[in-house]
Amino acid sequence: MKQPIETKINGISYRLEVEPHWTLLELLRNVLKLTGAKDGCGMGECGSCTVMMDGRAIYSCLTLAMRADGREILTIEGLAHGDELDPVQKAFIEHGAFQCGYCTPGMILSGKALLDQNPNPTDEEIKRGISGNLCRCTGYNMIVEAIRAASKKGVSRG
Amino acid sequence: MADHGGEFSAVGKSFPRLEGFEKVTGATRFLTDLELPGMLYGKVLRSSFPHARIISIDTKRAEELSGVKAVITAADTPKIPFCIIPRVANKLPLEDKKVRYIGDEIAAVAAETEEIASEALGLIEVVYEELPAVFEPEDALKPDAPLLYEEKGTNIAEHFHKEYGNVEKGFQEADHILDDRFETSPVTPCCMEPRSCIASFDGSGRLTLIANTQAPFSLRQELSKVIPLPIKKIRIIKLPIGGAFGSRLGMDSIDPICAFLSRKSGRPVKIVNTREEEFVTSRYRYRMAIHLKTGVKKDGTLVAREAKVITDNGAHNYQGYTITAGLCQKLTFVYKIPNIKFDGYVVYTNNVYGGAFRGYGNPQITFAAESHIDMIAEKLGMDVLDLSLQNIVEPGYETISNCQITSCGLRECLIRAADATGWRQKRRRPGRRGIGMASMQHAGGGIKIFFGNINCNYSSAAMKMNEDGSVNLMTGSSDIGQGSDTVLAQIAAEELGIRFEDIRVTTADTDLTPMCLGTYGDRVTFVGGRAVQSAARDVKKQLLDLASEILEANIDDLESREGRVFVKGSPEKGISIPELAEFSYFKKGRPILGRGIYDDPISKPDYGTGYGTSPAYSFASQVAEVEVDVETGKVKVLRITSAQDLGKALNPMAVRGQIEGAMAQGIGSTLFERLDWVKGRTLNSNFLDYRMLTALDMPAVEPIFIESIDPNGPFGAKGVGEPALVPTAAAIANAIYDAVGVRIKSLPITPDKILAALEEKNSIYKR
Repeated sequence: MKQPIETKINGISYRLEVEPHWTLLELLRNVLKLTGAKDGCGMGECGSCTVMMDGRAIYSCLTLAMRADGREILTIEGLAHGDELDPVQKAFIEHGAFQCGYCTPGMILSGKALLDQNPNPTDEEIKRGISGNLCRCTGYNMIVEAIRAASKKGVSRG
Repeated sequence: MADHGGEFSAVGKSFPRLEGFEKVTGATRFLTDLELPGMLYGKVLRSSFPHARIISIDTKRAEELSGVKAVITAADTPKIPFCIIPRVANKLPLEDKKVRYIGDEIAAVAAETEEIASEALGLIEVVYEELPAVFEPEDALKPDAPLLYEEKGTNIAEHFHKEYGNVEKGFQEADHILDDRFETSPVTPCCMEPRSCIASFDGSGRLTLIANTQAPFSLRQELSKVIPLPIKKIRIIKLPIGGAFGSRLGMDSIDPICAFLSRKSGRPVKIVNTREEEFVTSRYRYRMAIHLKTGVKKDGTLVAREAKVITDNGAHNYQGYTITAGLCQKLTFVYKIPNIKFDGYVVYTNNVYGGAFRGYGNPQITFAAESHIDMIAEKLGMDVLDLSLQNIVEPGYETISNCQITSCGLRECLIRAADATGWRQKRRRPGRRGIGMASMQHAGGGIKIFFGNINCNYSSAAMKMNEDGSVNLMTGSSDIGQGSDTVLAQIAAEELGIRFEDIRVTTADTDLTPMCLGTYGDRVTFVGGRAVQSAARDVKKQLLDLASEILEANIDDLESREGRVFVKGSPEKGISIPELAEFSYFKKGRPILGRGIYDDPISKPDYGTGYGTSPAYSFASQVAEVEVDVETGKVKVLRITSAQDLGKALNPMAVRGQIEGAMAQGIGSTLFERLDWVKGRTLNSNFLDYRMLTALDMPAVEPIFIESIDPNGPFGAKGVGEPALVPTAAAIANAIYDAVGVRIKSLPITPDKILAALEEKNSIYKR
C-alpha cells in the first residue's frame, strides 16, 4: 500500500504517495522523470545513481523512497541555476572530466558533496571522495583535476 | 596541457565537448532514460545450463499472467542465425534445439512493467536434457570432448595458418631461441550503461530500433537478415551511449528479440540488461593461450618468430576468427622480422562467446610479444631499449604482411618515453621498485573489411549550410563517448573557415545520416574525418563560386577564414559567409548542401581472413614503474608514461582523455580484472567481485604526444583510442621482473601468482 511522504527535491516541495519497496532512484526516475541519476547496477556498487540527501552524497538505488520523507534531495537537475552552472559542473566541462557521461551526474554530485564539507581537499581526499563512483572512460585523473579546480575557485562552499 | 594550434583556427585546440552542458546537467537522454508512449518492458529467459538439449518449452502460464502482452520462443521467429562475420553465423536470436552456454537466450516476455516481465520469466517451464560440457579450449581439442556443434565433427571453429619467409631457416640462423607460453584472461568492458534497445513498428510495418550500437549501418544489415525485413523497412537510431569500447560493434540477441516482441505485441518494447546480464552475456575480450617462439642473433637481430594461439571462442561464433587471424599481421609489426609463422586455433567451449574490446586481439598478443622482447634482451645482456631501437620498423617500411607504413614515430616514442622516465638510471636498480617498457602498433585509420559483399574502409558525410551561415553536419560515424562529434565539428570548422560554435552535429541515424561502417579500429577521426573534410570542401566550393560571382574575382584567388570569403592578400575585399548563405538561398534559390565520402585507397583487402591492412598505423611506447611488496605479492603501479604517435592531436584534451582512459583499462586488465568462470558459470557478475579500477587505484600517468603528421590523415591525424592499453600489460610485467626478478606469463598478475613465483625462485636459490 502506498504511503504518503513530504520531501523537497531540487528546492520544490512535494507530497507524494510511494510504495514502501520503492527506492529513491525509482521515485526520481519513474515517477518524477528526473533521469539524471542513472541505474548502473542497482546494488550500490557503481555510484551512477548518486544524489545528495541533506547535503550528503548517497546511493539512491540503496535508499528507500520513504527515507526521503522530511528531507531535502538534490539531483543533478537541480545543481545549476538556470544557465549558471555550479563550479564543479563548469570544471568538468573545462577539464574534459567525462567522456560517455553516464557516470557524470553521480560523479559531479559526489564532488559537490565533498567540496561542501571540505572546500580545499587534497588529491587523495578527492580520490577518496569519488572512490564510490565508477568511471570506465576517463581513468579518473581528469575528474580529480576538475574537482581540484572547482575547489581552488572556492565558490562551491555554500 | 598546451594547445598545438599553430596556424589552425579549430583543429589542434582543446575545445570542450559539444554536448558538455547537457552531460553535466543531467539533460542528456540516454537510451535507458527514454520512454515511448504505450511502451512495454521486455525480459529474456536465459539458459541455466552450459550445455543442454531443449526438450520442451511451456509458456502457457506466463502468457496467462495479467499484464503480459507477448511471450516468444524460437518457434515465433524464423530461426535465422547471425554473426558480425556472416560467413560463420551460428547464433540464433532465440535458441531452438540446444543451449550452449549459461546465458543463451531461450524465450522472452513483454509486459506492462519490468516486474511483471520478470515474474513471467519464472512461469516459463523449460525441460532440458543436460549434455556433457567442456570449458577449457585445450580440453575441447581432445578426441573424446563433447561437441558443441555435432555436425561440425570438431570443436575447432576455425584454424588459420600463415607463413611469411622461411621460419625453419630463420631459426637455424638464430643464436638463441626463446620458447614460452603466455595466457590472457577474459576481460569484460563494463560499460556503465547496460546494453539496451527499444523497438517499435509503425503502421506500415517499418521497424525503428533505438540501439546501443557503434555501427548503426552494420546493425541495420544484420537485423534485416534475421527479422527478416528489407533494409528500407528498418531505421536504426543511436542515442548518447554509456560506453561501448568495441563490445557493441555487432548485433546482440536482444536487438532482434526486442523487434520480435514489439511485432507480436503491437507496442513499443524496451529491453535493458541487468548488470548481471552485462557480466554474463557481454562480448568480452577473448582469452588466449599464446605459445611464442622467437629466434635472435647474438648481435640482437631478430630473425624468426613462430606463434601458436588458441582462442577460447566460447559457445558461438562472433569475432574469434578475425581477431585471431589478425594477430598474425600484428606479429609482423613493431620489429622487422623476416620470417614469421602463425597458427591460430579458434575453439568452441561452453563459455559465453567473446568479441572485440578495445584492441581487437592486440592487448593479448602484445603482452606475449613484448614480454618476450624483454626476456630476449635479458638473455643477450642488452638494454631492451637498445634491442628495440635496433629492430623497430620505420617510416616507409612495408611489412612482410604487406602493410605499408606511412608515418611512424616509433623511434621517437621509445626515446621520449625513456628520457621522460630516466630509463637508463632506473633500470636494474636494487630494491623492490622496477621499471619496464613495451611498444605497440595499431590500426590508425580502420581496416579494409567486408561490409556485406563489399570490401572497403568507408565513411560518408553530408553538410547543410543554413541561411545564417551555420552548418548542420550529418554523418553515420558514431560518437560512443570518445568525443568524435566534437572532433568532426573541429575538422568541419577548420575546413570551412567558420566558428566551431556554428556547427551542429547529427550522427548515427540510418534515416538521417549518410553511411559509415562504424566506430572501430581507430577509424572515426581518420576515415570519418576525411569524409567530413570532403563534404566541407564541397560546401566551401559552393561558397567560393558565389563569392567569385559577387566579388568579381577569380575563384583561385579567394580564401575562406574566420567566417568570411575574401581575396587573398586583400581581406577588405570580401563578403561574410552568412551573407553568402542568404544570397544563395534567397537570390539564387539554391540550398547549400555538401557531400563527402572517403573510402581509403591505401589499405589492401585480405580475402582469406577478411581482415585487411590499414591506411595508417599508430605507434606507442610505454614505460611502467612499479613497486612490489614481496610479503603480500601486491603490485603498486607508481607511474606510467605513454608516448603515443597519433599523427596530430586534433583536440589535445580529448586525446589525453583517450590515452588515460585506455591506460586505466590496461592497468585493470593487467592486475585485477578477470571473469571468474567455474563450469561455465560467471561467479563475479557484479562490480564488487569483478574489480575495475577506482579513483584510488589510478596512478599518475603521463601521456606524451608524438606528432608524426600522417600524409593521409585529416590534418595529419591518426587514430588514438585503442593503443594506450595495448602495451600496458607487458610494460607492467616487465617492470615487475625488473623489481623482483619473477616473470609472470599469465594475466591478470595477481598477488598469488607473484608469491608463488617468488617462492619458486627462492627455493631454487636455496638448493
